[in-house]
Amino acid sequence: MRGAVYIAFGEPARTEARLSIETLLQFNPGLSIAVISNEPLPLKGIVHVIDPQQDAGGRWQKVQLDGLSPFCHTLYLDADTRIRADLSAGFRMLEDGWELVITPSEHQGGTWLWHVGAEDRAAVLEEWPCKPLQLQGGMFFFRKCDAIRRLFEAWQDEWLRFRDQDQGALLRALAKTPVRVWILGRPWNGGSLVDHRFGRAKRR
Amino acid sequence: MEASANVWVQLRSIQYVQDEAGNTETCYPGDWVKVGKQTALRWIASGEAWALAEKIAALLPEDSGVVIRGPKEAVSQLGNLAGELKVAFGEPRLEFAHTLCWDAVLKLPAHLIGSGFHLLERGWQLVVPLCDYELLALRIGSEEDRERAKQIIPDLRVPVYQTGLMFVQRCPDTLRLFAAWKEQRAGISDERLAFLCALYLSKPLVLALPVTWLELE
Repeated sequence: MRGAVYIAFGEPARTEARLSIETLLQFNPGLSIAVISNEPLPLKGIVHVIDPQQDAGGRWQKVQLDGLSPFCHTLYLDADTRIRADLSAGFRMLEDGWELVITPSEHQGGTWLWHVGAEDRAAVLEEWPCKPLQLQGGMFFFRKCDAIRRLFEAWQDEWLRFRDQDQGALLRALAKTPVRVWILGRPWNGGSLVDHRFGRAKRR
Repeated sequence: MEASANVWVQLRSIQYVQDEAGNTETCYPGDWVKVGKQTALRWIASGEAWALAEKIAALLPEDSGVVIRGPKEAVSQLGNLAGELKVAFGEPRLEFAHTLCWDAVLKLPAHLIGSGFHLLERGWQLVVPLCDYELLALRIGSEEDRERAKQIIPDLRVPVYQTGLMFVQRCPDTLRLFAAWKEQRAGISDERLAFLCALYLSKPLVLALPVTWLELE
């Protein structure tokens, strides 16, 4: 079963999630949607996954998405995204056998992991023999399978080391547990398919 | 300290190195220090240290070699590793258990060779850089090529891989990849688009590398 999952804690994120869902359904009518929050979002026809907030950004839920998502094939979307097109091709990639479908971050080279703490960033370099491609964790598809379960377990362990951002932890998890990753282009996250208004969902 | 502290490198930058007792020592450019394999490779890759060619060669997985698409003289770009690595010439193929397929029209990042092979040991079956973050598959090849590719890949708004610099582990998945690539090249004139289709069909554990692997001065 296909579906999209949002995580929304705090009013700014909940408002952004509602707006994102409206655009998602406009171009992807009938797609199942689940929202992980500490109380139901006032929207009909969506699955409410009630889970207490553990950290400011809801990242503890994000690194547990394989367990929290009610869908076999999941599209995770940050609340501050706006959907501009049909995203079913991403689900087809999962059905074709890819396990994680994700875009690179626009921050490579000099701004690589700029938003992550110095220790968190240094821990990534410890796990790799060279600087890995930074991935953007605000939009990705994954399918439930053993490899993805292992990846999420590693992601949780790595996130718990610093309990802050999730991208460094994801790269460390990937270093330990390779999965079948299909890389998407910028239009999929921050472009013509998925517009990403980075940071709009933060608590103010 | 890494469990397998087994290689001597000479520093080109200041580093803080832990000894076996866990004490941290400040080491300076010119100092020789013994560190773990991954640290050594990372420092060599970033230019923070160097090591003798035979020491780097000793870090490579068993049966590692390079298949060079280009003239025999291109082997000089391997630098000190020229005498240490197995070398073959011709079209990309899985000649060795761990093969670097290198097209000599590209400048070879010799300082990254050790890292590339090490990533294969870490479980990746194919390690290959992206050509460019902005170059999408829907912008390459002929219209006919793209039509064929669309029959395989559900969306061509995806980055393109640089097939001229690939580290490949020989295994059933990559054997399928190379067979599919050959097959796709019969119908798709653009080599990179054909590769993307073959990759999509064969689904190896592929690690996309940043374009910095191609941005050599």
